[in-house]
Amino acid sequence: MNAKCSSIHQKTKKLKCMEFFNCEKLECPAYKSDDHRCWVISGTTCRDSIKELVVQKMEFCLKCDFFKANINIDSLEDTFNIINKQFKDFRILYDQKNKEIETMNLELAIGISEVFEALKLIHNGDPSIRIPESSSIELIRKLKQSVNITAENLGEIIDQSHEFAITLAEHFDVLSRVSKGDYGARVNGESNTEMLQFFKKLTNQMIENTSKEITQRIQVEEALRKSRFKLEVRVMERTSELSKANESLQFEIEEHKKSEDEIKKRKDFLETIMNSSLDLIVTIRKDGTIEFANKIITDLLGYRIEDVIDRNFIEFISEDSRDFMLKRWEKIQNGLTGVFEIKLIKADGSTIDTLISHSILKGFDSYLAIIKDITERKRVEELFSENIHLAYANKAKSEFLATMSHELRTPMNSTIGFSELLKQKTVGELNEKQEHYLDNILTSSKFLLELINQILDLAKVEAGKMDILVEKVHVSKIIDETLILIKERALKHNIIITMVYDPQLDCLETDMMRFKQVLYNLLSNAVKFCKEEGGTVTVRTKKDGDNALFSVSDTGIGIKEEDMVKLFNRFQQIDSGTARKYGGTGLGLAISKQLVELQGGNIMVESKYGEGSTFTFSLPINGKRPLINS
Amino acid sequence: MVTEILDTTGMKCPQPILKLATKSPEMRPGDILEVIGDCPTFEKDVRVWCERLHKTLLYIRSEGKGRVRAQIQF
Repeated sequence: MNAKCSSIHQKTKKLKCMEFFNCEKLECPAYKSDDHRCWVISGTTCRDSIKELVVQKMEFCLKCDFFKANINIDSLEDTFNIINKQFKDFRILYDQKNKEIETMNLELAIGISEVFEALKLIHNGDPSIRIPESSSIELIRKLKQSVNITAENLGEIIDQSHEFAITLAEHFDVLSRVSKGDYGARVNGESNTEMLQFFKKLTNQMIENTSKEITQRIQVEEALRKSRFKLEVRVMERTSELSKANESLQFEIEEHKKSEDEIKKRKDFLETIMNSSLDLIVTIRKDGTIEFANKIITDLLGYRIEDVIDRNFIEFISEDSRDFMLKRWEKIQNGLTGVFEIKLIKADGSTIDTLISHSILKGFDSYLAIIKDITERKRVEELFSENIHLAYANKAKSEFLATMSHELRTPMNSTIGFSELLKQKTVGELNEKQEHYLDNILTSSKFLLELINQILDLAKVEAGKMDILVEKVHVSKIIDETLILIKERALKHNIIITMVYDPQLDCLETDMMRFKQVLYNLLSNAVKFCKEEGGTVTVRTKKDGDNALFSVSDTGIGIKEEDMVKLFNRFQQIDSGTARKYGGTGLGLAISKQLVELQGGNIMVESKYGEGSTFTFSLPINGKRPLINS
Repeated sequence: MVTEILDTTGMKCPQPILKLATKSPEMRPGDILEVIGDCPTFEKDVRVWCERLHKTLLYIRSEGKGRVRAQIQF
């Protein structure tokens, strides 16, 4: 208890306010204070509990003894002034508070309507709304904040769900493309959401893996297909190779067979040649022994084939020739090939002349000899040289005769001349016998002269001394001139001479005199060998290509077939009887033949015994220069 | 030449997008799909979808009362 307590209060017991006001604040300063003045006076009160109870306090105070005891008018005025002030203050406060409440209400209303509006928008689906978060009312502020946050969250959720939806749509699209075979499709785009990002990555990886697998599988399949294709190709190639190889093998076999056949053929061929040869074929080994001989060895030398095989060839060379042979053999072994003559020994011991042609059989490493029997040839050579001598002798003879022509003819001409003179009785008269003898002399002389002329002609031709003067002659003219010579004789024999001239044969190059000689000879024969009653002699000319043909046909006695051969021989008349009957030297045709052939023509005869003959000779129209006879 | 019409009016997003996504594989290149929707984010969603999935947005226009019509070429 405070010493400051006034005496007023000394009478009363201090009431603890807490006791009175049922305040439980033990630390109430009002209680603590020594000053017991109640709150109105002292101003110290527990305002907390009294605030709202001011009127009640007043009421209480009026009942309060202490109050009554302590109250005075002055202080009451003060008190009322204070109360008034306090009441005014309270009133102001109240108004203030009222206004505040109003404001608050307004704020509340606005705020709530803003919130409401926002919420309406939000529930209509637009979470983008944000309300300005200003408000005097914290609650409203908080509410607005809350709404904003909610809107934001909602927005985020919507965005997120859109994100999911679009991602889903993307995935859907990509996966459906992949399922259709588009392995390049990927989900792209970034995403804020880790899960979606992960999902995308996963999907892509999955597609990647699958597509890799598929690609790999496709690659493997492709590789397999390729390798199978390659295999097939290879198999085909191989098959083709094999079949080609087979073909070529077949071909080779055929070729082999062909070549075997060929070999056999050749062997047969060779054997046939060897055995058909008329010459002896021998092969000799390098050591000189006989390897092979064909069967001619028997025909030529009289040995059997088996007798000569493996024997040294030198044994068959004649002893005289052995030296020469050995020398030659050395050269042969050094590669000489050629031909030589040598005598060989036959089986019977005799020798035979042979011509040996030798060469080397390269493939067989031996020598080939082809041996020809030349004994015949040697003989011919001898004969030939004999003939040469004979020919020379003949030629000398001919030359002699030719030179002698003049010597022979002159006395004959003289004989004939003088005989004729005598016959013409120019030197005196002749009696019958004299005339007859003279006729004989003349006939014989003329005949002898003719013979001499003809022999000399023949000799001339043979000696090559016959001069042929080739000149252009008119065929008809030359024939006519010849006919004149025979006309008289023909008439005597009752022979009619006709001419048939080929108009195409106009001219000819020949020796005029010799032509006339030949033609006269043929005409003479034709007339000579005519039949008893006479006949016809036809002279024909014909152009035959480059040759002129002249034929003399008669209707005479003809020629027997067996006599035709001797016709152009010298001194041949058909038989001795003919000579006596028909006369002639027997040289006419021989000379004619020589003369015609000398000019490059020929003479032929056709005849039918008993009916007649045709002698035809041809001469080249363009006169050939005479061939020189040997 | 509109191949198909997809009406998503009344559907709450993201349903329109999902419907669009399921319709997409049925369309062949060159087809035109007309979509109608009234969800507030419809326009944005359609644009984003076309962009992300590389489809051509031919046009998009509001028909009033929140209704939006769009044509997409595949």
